[in-house]
Amino acid sequence: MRVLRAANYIELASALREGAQVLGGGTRLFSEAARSPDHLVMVDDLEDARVMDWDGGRGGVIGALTTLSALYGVLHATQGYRALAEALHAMGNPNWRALATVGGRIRNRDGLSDLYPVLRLFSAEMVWFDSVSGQLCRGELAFEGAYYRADCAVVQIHIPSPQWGASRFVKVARTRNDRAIVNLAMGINGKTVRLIVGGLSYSPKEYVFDHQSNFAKALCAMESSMTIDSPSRINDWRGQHEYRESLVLSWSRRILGQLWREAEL
Amino acid sequence: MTRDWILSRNGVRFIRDWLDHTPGLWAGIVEATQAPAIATVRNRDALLRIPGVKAVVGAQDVPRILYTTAGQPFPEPSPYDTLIVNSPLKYVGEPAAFVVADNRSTLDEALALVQVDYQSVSITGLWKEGEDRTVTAWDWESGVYKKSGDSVSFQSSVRLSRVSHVVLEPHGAMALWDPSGDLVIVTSTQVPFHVRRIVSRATARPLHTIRVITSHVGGGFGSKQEVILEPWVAWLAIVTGQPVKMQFSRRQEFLLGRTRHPAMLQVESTWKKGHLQSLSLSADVITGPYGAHGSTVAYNMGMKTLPLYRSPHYHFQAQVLYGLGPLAGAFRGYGAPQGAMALETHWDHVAHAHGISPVEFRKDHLLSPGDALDVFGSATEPSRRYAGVPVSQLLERCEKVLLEGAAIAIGDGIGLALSMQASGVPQQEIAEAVVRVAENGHVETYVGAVDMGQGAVEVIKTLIASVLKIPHRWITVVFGDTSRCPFDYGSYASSTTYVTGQAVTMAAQDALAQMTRIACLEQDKPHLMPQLVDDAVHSWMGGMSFMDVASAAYYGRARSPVLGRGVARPSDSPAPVAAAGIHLHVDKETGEIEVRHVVIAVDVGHVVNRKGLMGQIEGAVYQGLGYALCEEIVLDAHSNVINSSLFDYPLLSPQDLPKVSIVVHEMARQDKEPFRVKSAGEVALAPVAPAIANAVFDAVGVRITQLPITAERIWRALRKKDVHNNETTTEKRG
Repeated sequence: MRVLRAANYIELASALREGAQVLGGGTRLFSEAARSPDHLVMVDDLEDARVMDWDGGRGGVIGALTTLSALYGVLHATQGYRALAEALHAMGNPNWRALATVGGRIRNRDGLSDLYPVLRLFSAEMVWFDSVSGQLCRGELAFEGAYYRADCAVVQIHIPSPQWGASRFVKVARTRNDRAIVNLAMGINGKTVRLIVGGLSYSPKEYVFDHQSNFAKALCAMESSMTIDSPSRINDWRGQHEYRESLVLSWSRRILGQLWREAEL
Repeated sequence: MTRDWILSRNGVRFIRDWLDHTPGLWAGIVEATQAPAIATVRNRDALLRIPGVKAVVGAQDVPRILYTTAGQPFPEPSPYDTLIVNSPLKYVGEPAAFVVADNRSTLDEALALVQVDYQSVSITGLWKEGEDRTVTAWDWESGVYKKSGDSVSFQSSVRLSRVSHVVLEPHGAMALWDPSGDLVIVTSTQVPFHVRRIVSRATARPLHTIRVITSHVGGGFGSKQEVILEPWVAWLAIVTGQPVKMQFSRRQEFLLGRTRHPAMLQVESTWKKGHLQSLSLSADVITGPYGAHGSTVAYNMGMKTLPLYRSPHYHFQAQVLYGLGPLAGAFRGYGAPQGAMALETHWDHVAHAHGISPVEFRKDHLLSPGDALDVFGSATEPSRRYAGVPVSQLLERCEKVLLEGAAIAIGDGIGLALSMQASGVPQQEIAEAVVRVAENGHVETYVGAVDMGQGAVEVIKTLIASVLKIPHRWITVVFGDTSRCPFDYGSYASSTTYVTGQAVTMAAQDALAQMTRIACLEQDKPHLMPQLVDDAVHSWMGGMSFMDVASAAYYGRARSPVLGRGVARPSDSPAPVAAAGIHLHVDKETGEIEVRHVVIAVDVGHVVNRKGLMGQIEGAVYQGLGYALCEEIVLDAHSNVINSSLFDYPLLSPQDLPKVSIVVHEMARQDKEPFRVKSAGEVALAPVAPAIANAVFDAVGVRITQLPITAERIWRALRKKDVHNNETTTEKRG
């Protein structure tokens, strides 16, 4: 196994073009498809990836190398990011969270199911390095984003100021340390509810609806907007499709109820 | 600083330490990708031309000697149905061939280039002529029963999953040559003497030319009672003439290691005016492609469970069947978890049908001291009797602790269940121990049993220290080396403390008697007794210290080195009993379970090693929770394992673990019966799953009869119940 420590973007570009995998998506390395990568590149020396510029309630820039526990520590003490803090705290165990990085978690496509809904809820933007163009790129978080390509590396996440009066995140898994069957992130403010659904066995979906300051109407709007009959991305032994759909509906209703009470609408 | 042993601490060496720091060739498995099929390596010559590749060994290159991988006493009850490389291959992942190379990178390179031709074979007749897949069929009946018109029968059934041991340390072994030409096998095993005998058979090599050394075992739970890698590395060492090493990857541990036996069990009880008339248990057990432990595991499904309840009539049937998929084997509990799941959920079911609390309902039927344990025993054989706390007391105590201060909310449920185990295999086992006192007073103990993390060494030291009245640190224990240590059946069946412990105690008593004679001779005294010593107190016997007496054995008037020997061949197998109580909450909308409190009450006789006991019980409870709630090896339509990694195999993590309270019913040590210990390693696992199932029923009124009890299964059962209720309501209205 070759491991290169990239001191700058030129070295990183070179390594990625040669097929190196970024060391940081640790859990991905254990997956069946890439359990023995023969070429890795570390990005620990990239200043951009180490940045942690957090401006209280106005959001900030998170370097890809920020650990989940470090980011949780910041968000936990900041108003308006409850769902994001809950998502970070729901992953793995304390030891794991102290080592795992935000970039690695995003880079890992399975792990995406954990962070994707909540970063999407907060309209996070990604900054990634494209080794083909040799450029840093910036764009909205997307499930099929370019930064998942093997020749790209996630460098930063930009999180804007919180736009939700109240927000929640729920991870539903078979066991607490297991990969999520369903992840839900929901925010509520003014007249809008935004719900992002993801998960290992559930295609990412986004629902936005008007709650009209009435819980029954909000519930009705949510249920009618949710296309729960769509086929899931993976319909495997982790649970039959209809059960997962039921989980999505049950937990969506519950979160909506909790947020409703929290937002005192 | 150089570290010779990566994992070693305080002299503890796991198999990986041996493999990484002993020169030798590495062997790898060419895993079958198709089965059932006859496999042939197509590019064997090309592989052998790769620099560093030393051998490619297929089915045609191994002895045609059938053996069993079950590490059991000879003659094994298990069928001899496996070869070092089998043909035809019966399951995907099974070794189609072995490749041996200078180093691991060459081995990986060669394994990646192997090309195998597969010739499909029909599943019909794969195991036996015709379509008979039966390995063993048990049918035992005792007592008399005549069904009358006013008797009522209850039936229930359970379907139990295939789960992995998930040992921290994957199986590993190496074979090397000592200067005399003998074959030395270093392995992570629970049964070194059985390994030696089985390797001798599989390789057609005289037993006395094989030495087995056991590394410290990084978790066994029965999986290392299987003799898997040892015949392979032994044969590859014979073929190459060089040392050969091998270790499973985690994926191979799931594919080629062993699993708990999947099974379907049915229970039928017949009642007349509230009195039990007959208790019947039948089991269909899948052993996988080879017989291994199937017969005896199935036997225990009935024998470890039925005696808990007194019935005028018992009937136990079990059918052990070959089947595709991974191979099942010995696993902590050894049939008792499956039997307990069937029987304990049945009692709960019948209690509810009678409208009586499950605890009250069981009381009149439970095992009491003096009751026969071998309910199918013949009249000519001495029947073992239960000695211990009345089981009903244990159950009541468990319930009391569970309910003390418990706030039972809507959706909460309480469930209880029992289990029983043995302490070694009755009337079968033997163990020998040797206690040697060196001239400086250090006590060296040699046993053939193995410490696999269960605290055997600590138990042995405690027993010797209590006899000789010396501190633990004056004692060392050498274990698991067939050339240095006396014979032992090995560490399984919860036997080490009871069986090996007896041998150790006898050996220590023998050594004490010899030292007493020496001390009396040296001091011209007719009688002397030892007194407890430590560094500050030197007067161990009369005016002599322990070291003085030890020295006198070699250099004094006696000139009689101290060598105590003990041989244990117990005819009894004291039965430990456990009661599990579960308090859980079920989310009716999603089916999710939150286990809030587990109480486990155990009767394990006299406690030798309290910390070890608590660890054993806690560990067994957690393993039982995994079996109950989430663990399962999942197969596809072709019986191939889908989730062969820790990424996909669902395990509980520390944050999933509920509060566990352990209640130990300790029996006082009595002079007339100095050795009243019972086993503790397995008994606490079996009652957990049925207690969970019973608690779920108590919480939401649905009985889940299939493990694991997942949220989805509860959700489906609740939906079915709702539909049924709605239909019933409609009918009534109509």
